[in-house]
Parts: sequence; structure tokens; C-alpha cells
Amino acid sequence: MNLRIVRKWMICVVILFASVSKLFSQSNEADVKAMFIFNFIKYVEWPQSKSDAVFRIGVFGKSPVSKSLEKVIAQKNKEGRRIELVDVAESEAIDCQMLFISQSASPKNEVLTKIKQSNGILIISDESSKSEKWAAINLLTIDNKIRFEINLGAAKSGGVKISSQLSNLAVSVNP
Amino acid sequence: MLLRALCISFCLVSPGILWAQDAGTFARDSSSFYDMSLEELMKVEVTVASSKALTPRESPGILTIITEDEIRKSGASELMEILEKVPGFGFGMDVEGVIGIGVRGNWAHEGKVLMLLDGHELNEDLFSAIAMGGHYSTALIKQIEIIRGPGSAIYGGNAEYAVINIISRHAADGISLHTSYGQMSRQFASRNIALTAARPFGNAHLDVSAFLSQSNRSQEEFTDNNGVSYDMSEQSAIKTAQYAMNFTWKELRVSGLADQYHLHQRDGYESVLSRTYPTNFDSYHFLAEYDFKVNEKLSLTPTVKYKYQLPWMYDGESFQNEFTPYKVSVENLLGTLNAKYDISTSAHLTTGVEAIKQQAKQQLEETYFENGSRTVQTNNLSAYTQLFVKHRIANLTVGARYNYNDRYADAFVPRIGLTRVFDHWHLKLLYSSAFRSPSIENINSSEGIKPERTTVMEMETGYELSRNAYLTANIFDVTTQDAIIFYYDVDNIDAYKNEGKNGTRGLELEYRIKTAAGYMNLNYAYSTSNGKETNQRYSVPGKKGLLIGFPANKITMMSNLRLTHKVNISPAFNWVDKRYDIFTDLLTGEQQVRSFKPAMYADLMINFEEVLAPGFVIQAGCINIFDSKVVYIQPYNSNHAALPGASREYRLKISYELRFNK
Repeated sequence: MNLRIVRKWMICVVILFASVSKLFSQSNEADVKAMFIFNFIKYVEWPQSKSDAVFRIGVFGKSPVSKSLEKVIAQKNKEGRRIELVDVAESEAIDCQMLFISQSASPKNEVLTKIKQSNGILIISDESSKSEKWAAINLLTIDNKIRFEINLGAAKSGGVKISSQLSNLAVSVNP
Repeated sequence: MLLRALCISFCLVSPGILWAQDAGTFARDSSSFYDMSLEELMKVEVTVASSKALTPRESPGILTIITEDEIRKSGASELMEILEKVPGFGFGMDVEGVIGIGVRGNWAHEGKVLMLLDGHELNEDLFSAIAMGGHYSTALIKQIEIIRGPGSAIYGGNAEYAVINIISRHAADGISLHTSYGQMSRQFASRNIALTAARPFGNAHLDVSAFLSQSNRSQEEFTDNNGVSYDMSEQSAIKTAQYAMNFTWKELRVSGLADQYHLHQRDGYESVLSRTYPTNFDSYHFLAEYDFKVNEKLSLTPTVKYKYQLPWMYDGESFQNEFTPYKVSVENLLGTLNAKYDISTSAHLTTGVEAIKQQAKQQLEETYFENGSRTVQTNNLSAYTQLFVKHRIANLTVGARYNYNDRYADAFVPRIGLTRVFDHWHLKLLYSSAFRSPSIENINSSEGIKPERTTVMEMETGYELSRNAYLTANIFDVTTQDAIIFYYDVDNIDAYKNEGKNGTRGLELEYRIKTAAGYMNLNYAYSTSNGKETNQRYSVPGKKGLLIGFPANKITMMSNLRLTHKVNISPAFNWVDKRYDIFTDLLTGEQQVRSFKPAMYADLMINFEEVLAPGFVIQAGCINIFDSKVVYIQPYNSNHAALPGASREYRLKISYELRFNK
């Protein structure tokens, strides 16, 4: 076969492959969710006992959102903030102001009890089912946009206060 | 030449690709992204993994989703009360007092609607019907997801017109008790009790539920077309018992369901029987599936289902052989291997193979099928695939199913769907082929029967009026070819054949609003057979565009209004336009058209939440406030008078839920 034709076909295949793979653009859902989590800090009041110099965000369970949180925190620390990302394993004591429970994680009842007993923690869940009412904020994806719902009862039992400004932006607020 | 064309097309596509990236946050300047406020972030469109559950606005189907909250607050005690409020859904009567479903003006009772409960297929396998009315308790339902269009490409030969997917209410770890009582003027309408219990055991979780119900279909008088009447009070009792078990351990799910539905009737096809006879539907279901995650992109789910049924069963004596005993068991063994593969974050493939073995067996002595044997057996093999691609121009769904059966002809049903959400709008363009598998009794009565085929075209557009309010409109066109038709053969025996075409076209509008003060779902549905070929069995002579039993226009509403923190009310209504049936005039022997006036069925429930103790709910109200006549018309020309339904009913519901971890 003519070498020139083979070369032409190879170039065609490479271009076509490159075009098609480019069409499947990268996901950024996790990055946006991480930024939401970071932004929530501005709208929440923690008890005096939790006003440490370092702000700790706990992560329970691995997920793309926890990886994106690392990126966000690295960027924010560059800007002079003092934020730490803490991996919360089931056996450990929970020492953080905010706790993100990833979608894949299924915390055992003992862990949930431990979380509930730790005062001053804002619990955030990721697309959790409505029957689970332990998270103060639940992130949602609706029509390709990130939204969130608020459970004021869970925030109250977590010892944190959510501003009405944040409640106004939520898709639903449960008393 | 080819190279040049590709280069040009690549150059044309590239700016689009760049624009696509620019529209997302990845192409933004990284520091500005990290400075974005919450309000700005809320405007950012994200690319969600294609394998994730899609929202109703972007799903490639015309959907109705009824949530647990809506079901509970509506005060409905059974599934049919909810389905009556779904656009395009209606009910008619078949035979032996059995009520069936109609979709978009078409009679869909036998094999045209697939109903699933936690994955169990509820259609009985002798005629593929679903007996409605006093059957499925709302106390045990968490969510109802309805595809108001075909689903054969994924769900197979019973999903020709619609799919009703019921998800059980068994997530809470605790116990719950629900009881309901409804009283009409002369007798009770329904009384039932449901109990659920669930708890985790390490990585395992077990939940069990039981439901027992008694109801009376009507207290009205039924008069057949020969003028013979009887009072349905105490002669239309329905008894239901349902027991379910669901066990999960890591990715394994094992589920069992026993469903016993026993109705009493005096329905002798064209005439009234001398006394009541029971018609029983007993079904026992088992399911085991394991979701095996091979890696982050690929998951394989093998499923085994087994079903044993005794539908339409009566094995007692009858007065002067007026009601023929029937006892045929049917077993269904199904094995599926389903694979889900994330090709990329924007492309997802679902594919699988399914094998079904069905065997029906005569249980009464000296009764035989038409083939002279006491058993009928079918073997079915199918393969299906569906590719879903998310793209900035539109989401694309392409799928197909190929079905082979050793007793009837093959079927191949492709589907294609384009959906797009842009700002406040969404658009769906859907083309689907579907089929109805001939059931065991179809095969039994007709050797040459073949699958009926349906083509459905749908277009839906929706507008987000505010963050909590949506307006949706769709138009549809349904055409069924080689329709499987029921008829009496020369020996006056039930028989089936493929005959002609039928179908409808129409429009459905939905307005949904949900705020802190409550919610409202308001729907309008219109269907007509105008412009479609119509089989004489279904058409109303002299009434162009109308089919027997179903209205051209229907308006429904479900709503809830919060009065105080603990008290809310749920007004609802269902308005149906004029309907028609056909009967044979006794004097002339000619067929006459009979009309039923438009009717408004309105309900009001008052809900007292968390009263007396946490988890305690009391609901009280009135169903069919105006006491409008409920009638179930037989939607085909068979000289059967319409069956009356329930009158005005005063209802009380009490629920108590105790969570172990609250």
C-alpha cells in the first residue's frame, strides 16, 4: 500500500480521535462543590470554643470532592489563610469545625453518634438521600448546577448557626 | 481530499471545543475561580458524570416523579388514587371485576404497562395484566417514578406504553405503623394496616413489611346490558395481603415479596352472575442481585429473579356452570447480566443480556391448553444496549433491544433521545420503538401470534418560571401496529389475534410549584385518535377522535398548603371529560353509544404532623367530596356495562414512626 495514503489515514485517525476525546470535556463538579464548601464558612457561626487559629475541615470518605478540597485549601493558604484538611477515620476523635461526608462513605451508627455529640461541627453531605437528616447542609446537582438544601435542626444539634442569607440561597430549608 | 475535509472539520470543531471549555470553570483563570462567591458559583454549569442519575429535566423520557412527601400528604391509601392524578393515566374495567390501566387514551391493561416494585415485575404472566384497585398500599411506598412513554429498549416486552417504578419505603431504621379507615354512606370503603421494621446488622441491613387491607369497591347498583341488577354493597369486597423482605449486605441485595389480591365479583362477562365469586391473584417474587464494581469505570450486576403466580384463579364450584373455574400456575425464571461502563465523564454505556424461562401449568384436573398439553413453555433471550453522551449541544441517548423468543417472532426496538437544558429552558426530542410480548394465554389461543409493535414520538419543552416553579408541555404520537386484540372465536371462546393499527396523539401540560408554604402539581392532558387508524374494537361510532372508555380532556391537581407548623391541608381533584361506551340494544339488536357526563372528583385531607408524640401523624378528610359517580368503562367493544366505583368517603389515617437512631 502506498505509504503516503497510510500516513494520511493515520493523521486522520489521530485528528478524529483527538477531536472526539476533546468533545468529552472534563468534569468540574467536584471543584465547584469544594468551592461551595469553602464559601459556607462565611455564612456560619461557630461557638466561641471552636474559634481556633487554624480552621479544620474534616473529610470522611474518599471522593473527587475531597481531592478538590485539597486544591482549594492549598490555594487559600497561599493567600494567607490557615486552613487544614483532616482525614477523619472512623476510630479517631473528631476535631474540626466542618465535616464533609463524601457520597461513597456510609458512616456507622456509632460514628454518627460521635459526630452528633461533638459540639460545633457543621456537617455537610454530598447528594445524600432525604431520609438521612443528620447533615446541616446537603449538596445537590440539579440541572447541571450545584445547589444545596439546609436542615436547621441538624445545624442546631451540631451547635452551629446558619445565617438567613445562606438559607435564602438554599433550594429547601427544613426546620 | 479526505484529509482536507477532516482538517477543515477539525478547525470548525476546535473553536467549539474551546468555547465548551470556556463555559465551564476549568478554562477560567484559576485564581478568579477560587475567588468566586456563592452567588457566582450557583450560576456555574458543571459537567456531571453521565452515569449519575439525571434530573427529570435532562432525562430522555417524559417523566412524573411522585415523592414520599407528596404521597403521604395526599392522604391516598392506595396506588390507584395517586395514578389517577398522573397526566394521561386513566382506568377502565376488563372482566371479572378487574380494573386496568389506560395510558394517553389507549387501553393498556394487558402487557402494555410494566409495573416494578423494588425490581419485582408485578404484571401477572398469563395475560401480562396488572389488577388495580385496593391493591398496592401507599403506606409502603417511598417514591413512584413513571415513564409516560415506552421503555421497551431497556425494560423489555411489557413496557410498550409506560413504566411505573415503585420504590418501597424501607430506608428508616426503626418501626412504623400505618392504619387507615374510610367510610362511605352505607359501608366502609377501606380499612387497612401496614407495619414496617428495619435495622442494620454491621454491614448488613434487613427490613420487613406487611400490609393487610379490606375494601369494598362500590355501594352502588350495577346493571348489566340485559337490565339485570345487583347491589354491590358487600358484593364487591377486595382483600389484599402483602409481605415484603429486603436484605442487603455490602453490594448484595436479596428481596422477597408475597402479594395476595382476592376480589369478589358477580361479573359474568356480558351478564350478572347469580352470586359472588372470588377471582384471586397470588404472586410470590424472589430477587437476588450483586452490584460488582470491577473498577471505577465498570460495574457488573448479575440478577436472578423467580416469580410464581396463580392469577385469575378460581377453583371452586359454580352455579349451573355460570362461572368457569380457572387455575393455572405460571413460573418465571429470569437471569440478567447488566454492565455499566463510564467511557468518560461525559459518556456512559449500559448494556446487558437477559434470559427468561416461563412455564404455565394447568392445576385443575383434566384441563388442557389448546396444544393438548397441561403445560405451555416459552424461552426468551434478549440483549440490550444504551449509550448516553453528555455534550454542550445536547445530551444524546441511543439504545436498542433485540428480543428472541422460541414461540413468536423476533423484535428489535431502537430508541433515540436528545435532551438539552439551557438556562431556564429544557427541550426533549424522543423517538422510541417498543413492543408487547405475547403472553402465555395469547400464545395458547393463537399459534401464529406475533409481538405488537409501537412507535412513539415525543417532544417536551419546559420553562423554569422561578427556582421552585416549572411549566412543562409535551406532545406525543403513539402508533401501534399488529395490535394484539381480544375477541370471541366461533366457539365463543376467548381468543387473541394481531389486527390492524391503533394509536393516539395529544398534548400534556404540567405546572409544578413548591415553596415553604406548600406545593401544587397541576396537569392537563389531551388525547385524540384523530388522524390515526383505529381498530373498530376501540372506536366510538360517530365520535371522531374518541376511544371507548377514555376522555379526550383531563385536568388533575395535587396540592398541599401549610397552615401552621404542624397542620397542613391537601386539596386535590381529578376532572374528566365526557366518556363513551357501546352496548347492544336488546330490542333492535343494534349497537348504541352511551355517554357518561364530565365528572369532577375532589378530595381534601387535613394533616396533623408530629402531634401527641414525635413521629405521630393523623390525617382526616374526605375523598370524592361531591359524591360524583365513579365508573370504570370497559374500553373495548364487548357489550359489558360500566362498573361503578366508590362513593364519597370520609377517611382517617394514623401513622406512627419510631426511629432507632433518632
